[in-house]
Amino acid sequence: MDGEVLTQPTFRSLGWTWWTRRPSYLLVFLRETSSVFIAVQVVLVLVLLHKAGQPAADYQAYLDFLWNPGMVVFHVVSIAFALLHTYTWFNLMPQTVAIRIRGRRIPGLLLVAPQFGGWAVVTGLIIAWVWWVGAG
Amino acid sequence: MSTAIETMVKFEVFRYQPDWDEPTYQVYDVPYREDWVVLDALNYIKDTIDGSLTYRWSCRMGVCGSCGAMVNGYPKLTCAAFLSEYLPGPIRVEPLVNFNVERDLVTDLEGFMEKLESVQPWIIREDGATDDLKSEYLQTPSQHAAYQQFSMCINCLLCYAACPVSSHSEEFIGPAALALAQRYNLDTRDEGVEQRRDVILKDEGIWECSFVGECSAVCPKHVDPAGAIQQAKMTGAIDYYRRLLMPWTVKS
Ligand code: SF4
Ligand code: FES
Repeated sequence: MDGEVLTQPTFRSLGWTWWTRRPSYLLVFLRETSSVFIAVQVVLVLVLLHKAGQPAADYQAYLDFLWNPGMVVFHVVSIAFALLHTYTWFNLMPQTVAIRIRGRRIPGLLLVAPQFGGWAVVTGLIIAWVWWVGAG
Repeated sequence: MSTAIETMVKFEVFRYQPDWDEPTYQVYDVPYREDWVVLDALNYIKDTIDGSLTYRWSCRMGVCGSCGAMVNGYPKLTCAAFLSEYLPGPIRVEPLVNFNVERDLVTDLEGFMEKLESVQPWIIREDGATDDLKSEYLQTPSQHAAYQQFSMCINCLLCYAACPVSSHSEEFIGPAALALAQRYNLDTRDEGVEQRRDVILKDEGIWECSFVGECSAVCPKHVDPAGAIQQAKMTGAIDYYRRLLMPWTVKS
């Protein structure tokens, strides 16, 4: 042997369409893609807050923009993504957090349930507040 | 004399030899046996049809970790993949993806070996007593339980073949090696956390993982490398903020 390279190895990858290969990949892909929509939504809300301090006409123009059909579709898609992200994220928590009591890992449900519970409470409070503001 | 007609299963096996330009798929007809796994079929092909077929195996019982391959597109231990699960066929057998192919189903493990070594998967003692075989380091059952799951890895590399990040980043240290790093970091006998720190926290370490989680889904030993990596991220983040906000609590 003279140290010459005898093989021509070929690298086989999953390719850029990896997320189409299995349902589980697709779900992860959607979970990660959801971040883009959530980020855009955050920007829209920040602009809304900024516009609230501007003259009323500006504010109204922005509201009209948010109500155009394209924006409404965007928000419907965004909320679906936000729900998917939240749901999958909460369910992943038991893998991420390993809390042990007397050497045993606590059941995953104990980590997942409080998050869904907290989510429900916060959502309830926001709905109640919006309703209260609307009524008052 | 038996007159029963044998059921045959078609195998499409990935073939590649070092002096070929292109890999091809070769088709073999293999008799179906209820108790056969894909590895039995490969052995049948090699023994009776085509002696040139090349693949790795050793224990035939899910322990050595050498027989991994893609079976119908999923990473599997061929010694644990029953033909009955793939009826009526055809069954496509390919080398694990995300690795270079040396020949047929045999992949090049050099890159993985380097990554594995880089996380120093052995007990490190600050007093340098690693070689001192006379010392005794006691551990309670619950301390052992903290890392036990991550120590079950057989280096079969199915997790790398399931990982899209490994597919696109040759440098990513990857699931099994990072799980082993976590295994030693969690071991109360080990004092090497600081020594592994840079490798685990660098860009190609835990932070490159986007928690696809498929590594844990395919792992035949239920190691849960995805869990190990997320737990390491959690520890890493806490450690970062501790260094930032309470530097006096960190040993230099
Ligand atoms: S973590 Fe599991 S899939 Fe990955 S090499 Fe170890 S045993 Fe195989
Ligand atoms: S031959 Fe050893 S794990 Fe399959």
